[in-house]
Amino acid sequence: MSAFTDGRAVSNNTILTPDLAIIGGGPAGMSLAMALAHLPIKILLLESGGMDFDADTQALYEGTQTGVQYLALDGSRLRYLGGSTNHWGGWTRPLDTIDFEKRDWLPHSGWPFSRDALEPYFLHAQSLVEAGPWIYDDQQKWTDALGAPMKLAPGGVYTSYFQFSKQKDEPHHWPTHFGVRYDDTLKQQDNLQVMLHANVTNIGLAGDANSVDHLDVATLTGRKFTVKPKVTVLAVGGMENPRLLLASNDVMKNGIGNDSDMVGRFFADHAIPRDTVTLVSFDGTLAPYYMNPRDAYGAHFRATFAAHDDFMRTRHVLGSLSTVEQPTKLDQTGMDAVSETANALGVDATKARGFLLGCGFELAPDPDRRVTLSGEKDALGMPRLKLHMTISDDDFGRYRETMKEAGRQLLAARSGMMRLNRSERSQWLETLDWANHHMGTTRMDDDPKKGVVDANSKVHGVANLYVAGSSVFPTYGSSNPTMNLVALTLRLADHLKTIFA
Amino acid sequence: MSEPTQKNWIARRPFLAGLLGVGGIAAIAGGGVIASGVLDSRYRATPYDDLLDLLADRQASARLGRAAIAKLRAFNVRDAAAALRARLKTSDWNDVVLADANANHIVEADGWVLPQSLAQLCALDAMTIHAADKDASASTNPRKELPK
Repeated sequence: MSAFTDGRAVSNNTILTPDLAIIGGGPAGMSLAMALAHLPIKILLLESGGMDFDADTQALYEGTQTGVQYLALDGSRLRYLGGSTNHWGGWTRPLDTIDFEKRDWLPHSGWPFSRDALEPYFLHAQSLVEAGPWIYDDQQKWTDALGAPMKLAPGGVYTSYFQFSKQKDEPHHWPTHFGVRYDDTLKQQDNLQVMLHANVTNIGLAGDANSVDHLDVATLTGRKFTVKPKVTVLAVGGMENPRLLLASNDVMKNGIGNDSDMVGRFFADHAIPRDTVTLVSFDGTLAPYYMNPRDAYGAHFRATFAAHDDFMRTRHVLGSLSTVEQPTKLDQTGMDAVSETANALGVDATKARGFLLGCGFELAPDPDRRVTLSGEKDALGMPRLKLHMTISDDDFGRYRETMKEAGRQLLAARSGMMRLNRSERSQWLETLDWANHHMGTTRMDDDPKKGVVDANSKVHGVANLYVAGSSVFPTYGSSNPTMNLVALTLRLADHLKTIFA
Repeated sequence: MSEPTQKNWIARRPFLAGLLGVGGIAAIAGGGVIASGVLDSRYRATPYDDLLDLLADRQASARLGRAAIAKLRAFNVRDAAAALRARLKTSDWNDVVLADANANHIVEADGWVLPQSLAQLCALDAMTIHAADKDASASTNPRKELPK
């Protein structure tokens, strides 16, 4: 077992020469390091933070923003071992098949491979995030355990299921914090050195700009040293990945991988407007797993309303996941609507109950929603980030269309009805929140003009530089990214094994 | 879920206890507004009573109808009534409404997703009550009773 090392104890001007450098100790970087255990290569994982939160380190994330209101850039992620798993909610669901497809009606859509390419990695990823057995949309199992889902007529929306990360031996459903859960695993890895408090401030390209020559590393205590790896994987999240590529501009003036001005563009998150829909159950029943997570089969799970892939294809809408948040009372119009509708459908609504729904929905790719470098610098001298955030009326409209279909299905099933609570942009913005899912800024595309990395996550034009994490997602789906980005990272690990074979 | 019947299952406004708080229940029960006989007596006969009788509560449906009218394109009372009657020749009301839901003939009223036929009937009710109110207002206008 090897203890973690501290970058602050490394002498100035030291040169380290691992075979593989992993920049970032979040779920992607840690999963990659663990997947490459026991290979006959030396791996160095460089983590900016330590084992716990530190305000000075966290402040390196500070930045500015324009456009639609977004979360503070230093508030929506965490900079210490385990990364943002240190504050994640544990929501887990695999991406859908359509999420990978090129859609003619959706500009910039399409991954360079289908969902099938991730299938071999999902179970391993699921075990790493500790979300229990792979059940998800095996609805019969949940029904057998805790009752039937809300009755919906055939149509575009169905009841799908989240599973939740639940850290082993943790009695309170604490989602798996990778830094806590896997520190011993990393320490047991003979070929791995984890260095804390080590900030990569520059990726130095060779003179021909075709490969990484070295990494400049700095600490908040003023130490500076160099790492010269054979291969580098950048895994510092959806904001820092582009930041480091853009800031590494000593050889390539526009930054690394940025010949086509794609680095930092297409930033995405899941929009989370609250109280979007009022759902009424005519008979007042609602399975308990809609409003709160429940346990069955060793999994912690919760139901959500999702759109079928075919519905999304034909109606040109994007992914959304709507959850029941709380009971609600109806106003006069609501009472009128329920009484008249139930009467017209010939059903009893004397025990009807109302519920408010919230959601997370997918944004369309937008090149103008982007991060760039600002004129300000952080304590290490690195340019800070500036985020320009957007959300279009079409983004809201697509989600609304999906829920209108759900309302239709409830009527057709004579089980309930829905009110769409938001129409105007100002109404949506009133309660708009974000999911802290940073995606899209180093998008994957086989065409260097359209993407930053190729199908193997290698930066276009740079022989030995890869990017891991959800920053490579070209479209985003509605599922929470952590388990999916871990699966994608495990796929990258298999590719790297061939490189080092 | 109870099975639907060929006739409306309830002859007066259903008591939606699950949708109200305790205060709301007390207010409605105390106010006695669920007594349909009181409400029914307020309405004049109209050419559309065969259709309006399908509604649970004329006041409630009229309120809903006012919200629906804005979303019904070129709504015309006579045309809507004729269309509904034509459909009711071969199907009962419940089936007409259900068929709309299945066929994605949907209208929003104040955000509520409604079957189109129900929205039309509520709009018809709103228009009829509105016209009746205007008539009633005119008939009680004291200026009309002044001697010439």
